[in-house]
Amino acid sequence: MSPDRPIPRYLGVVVLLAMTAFAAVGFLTIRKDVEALQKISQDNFLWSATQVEVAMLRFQLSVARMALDQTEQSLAEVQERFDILWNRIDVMSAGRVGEMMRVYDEETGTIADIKAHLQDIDMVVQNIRPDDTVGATDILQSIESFRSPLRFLTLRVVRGDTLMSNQIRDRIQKSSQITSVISLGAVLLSVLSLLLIFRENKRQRQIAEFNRKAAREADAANKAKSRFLTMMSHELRNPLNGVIGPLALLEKADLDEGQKSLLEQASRSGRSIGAMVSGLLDFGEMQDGRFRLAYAPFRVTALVDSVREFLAGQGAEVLEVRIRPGVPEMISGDMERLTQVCVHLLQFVLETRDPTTITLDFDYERGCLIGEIGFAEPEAETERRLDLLMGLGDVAPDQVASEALRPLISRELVSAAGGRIELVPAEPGGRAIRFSVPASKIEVPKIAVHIVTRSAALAAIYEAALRSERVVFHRGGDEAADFVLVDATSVGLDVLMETLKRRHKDAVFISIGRPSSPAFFNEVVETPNDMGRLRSCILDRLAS
Amino acid sequence: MRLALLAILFIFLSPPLSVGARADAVALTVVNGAEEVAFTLDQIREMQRVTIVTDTEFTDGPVEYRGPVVRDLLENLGMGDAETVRFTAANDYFVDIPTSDFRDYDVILAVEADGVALSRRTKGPLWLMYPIADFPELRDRIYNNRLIWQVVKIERL
Repeated sequence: MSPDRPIPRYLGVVVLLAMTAFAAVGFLTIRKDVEALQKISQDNFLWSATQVEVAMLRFQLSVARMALDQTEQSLAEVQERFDILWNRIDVMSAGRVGEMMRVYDEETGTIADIKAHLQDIDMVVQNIRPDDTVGATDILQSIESFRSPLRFLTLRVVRGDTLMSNQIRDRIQKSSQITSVISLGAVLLSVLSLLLIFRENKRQRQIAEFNRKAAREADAANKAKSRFLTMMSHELRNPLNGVIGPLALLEKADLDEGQKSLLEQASRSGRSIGAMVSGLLDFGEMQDGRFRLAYAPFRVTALVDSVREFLAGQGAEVLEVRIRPGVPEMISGDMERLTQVCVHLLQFVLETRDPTTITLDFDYERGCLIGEIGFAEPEAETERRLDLLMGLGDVAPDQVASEALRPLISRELVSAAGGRIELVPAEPGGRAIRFSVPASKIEVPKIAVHIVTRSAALAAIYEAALRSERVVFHRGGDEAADFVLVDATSVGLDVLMETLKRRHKDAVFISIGRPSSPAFFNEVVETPNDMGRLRSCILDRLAS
Repeated sequence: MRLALLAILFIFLSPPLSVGARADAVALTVVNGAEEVAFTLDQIREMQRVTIVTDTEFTDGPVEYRGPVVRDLLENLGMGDAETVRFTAANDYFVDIPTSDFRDYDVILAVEADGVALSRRTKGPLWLMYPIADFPELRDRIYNNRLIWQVVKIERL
């Protein structure tokens, strides 16, 4: 047999059946022999036969003694010995012993004759007087006539017992021979099985070695490809930065509207290529196992801003972002990669059709940040490409069509973060791309704000502008505040500020309006109604 | 001629007589060292009896035997700690039995077979009976030989 050929399955079944058959035959044979030996060895015919002779002799002895001493005690013993002899003869007539004895006594009928004679003399024995020597002598003589036949019966039993012993010996010999043959057969089958197992094992090892070698080669090729991809990404990014940088500088130059439009288009394309190159770089690192996510706390609103910035001029105007209630203000994750995921998926949808609106909803469930990109009912082409997105898990990365590059990068990034992407039904009648990534919630402390203004109406305006779940307003001013907003036109500002500084030693002081003594303040919002500036002052301070 | 025959039989076959142990009323003598207790058949029949249904080599088919449990009998006579006891039959045949048999099985001293009192002619009045039908391991020559009938004496060894 060639080692390359697999062993047919039926061969194993045949060997197994053969061994089972051998074991069954061996078991049944041995069991049968053991039962037979047990039955034979249980019988004790020789003993039973000799005991009849003994009982008969002892009865004769008791009769002789009675004839000599002629006492009632001797008579009682005669009658007891007669009963014992009767019982002995009875034993020879019943059960398995009786069954075998009938075989030995078939020709002469000695036992039957003795039994009949005992019945004949029963009344004589029961009624004899101790001094009736004549009667005793008659009993002795009549019994004596059975001595020789009984002796011959005993001899036949002895011969039969010997024959039975020989049968036992022959049976044991035969049983041993059968057992030997079965054992030999079992050994041969075991050896055959071992040979087959060794041969199969060798073949499996050859296959495993071949597969290992193929896997090593494939892995090496894949790593080479990944290294090439990474290298190329690096090589592309450097000159690309050399294009995007000057374009950004050029935007500050004095250009006419046409030039500005061209410049803006060039900048958008540059940023888009940059995002794609970053994605390719990450993808290459993921392929050869070097990719690592950079976890850091970030605000979901910052993620939204980052996405919008990337999509500026490329669909941001039709993008509607919603952060649903329950989404933590701050979470832990890789914001840069999450931005890439959102941008790639959004651009994928934007490229496949030209939607009038596209939505990006953020939600938070069971420790995961969920992003859902919704759009109207897709056209046939979009449908096919969405299916392509979902089918990415079934194909090798190098077999993915070029049009699926963005979703492929997104899928790999989400997968690296321990999340998943799926297509879900969305109202009304459309579908949505839903991604979810684990993101632990980070508790953001409350901000205590103390507002000092000339009028309560002005304070109410600032409270309304800054109101959020995180902000707590302290009007009384006795409690410690993180931020103190002071109307720059307040009367006796210096005295007031000294008091406030003592009371809120660690607070950030923001002047609303240009102050007469800027030294008291950390931040200044020169235009009192510039609420955007006021908010960014507070957020910048919190971020730092 | 007759007298000569009687004399020869007497001289060669006579066992030693145990005078006094053969009183009619005594069916069973139990010897525990120096102590000796005699039971009449009525006394034995009055003991608490159990039933065993079994076949033997010596009977045709199963038979229902009744009699006191040997284990209880020995314990009541202070022989519960004995290791081996000897059972002797009316024909002087005896068998030595380890008492573990009585602890492991409900061996009885049968006084009845199928509701009929055992007599000398039917292996009685006392026949040591094992529950052979209930325990396959008892179908062995060793236990077959321990089915001693016409028991007249039990003795601690």
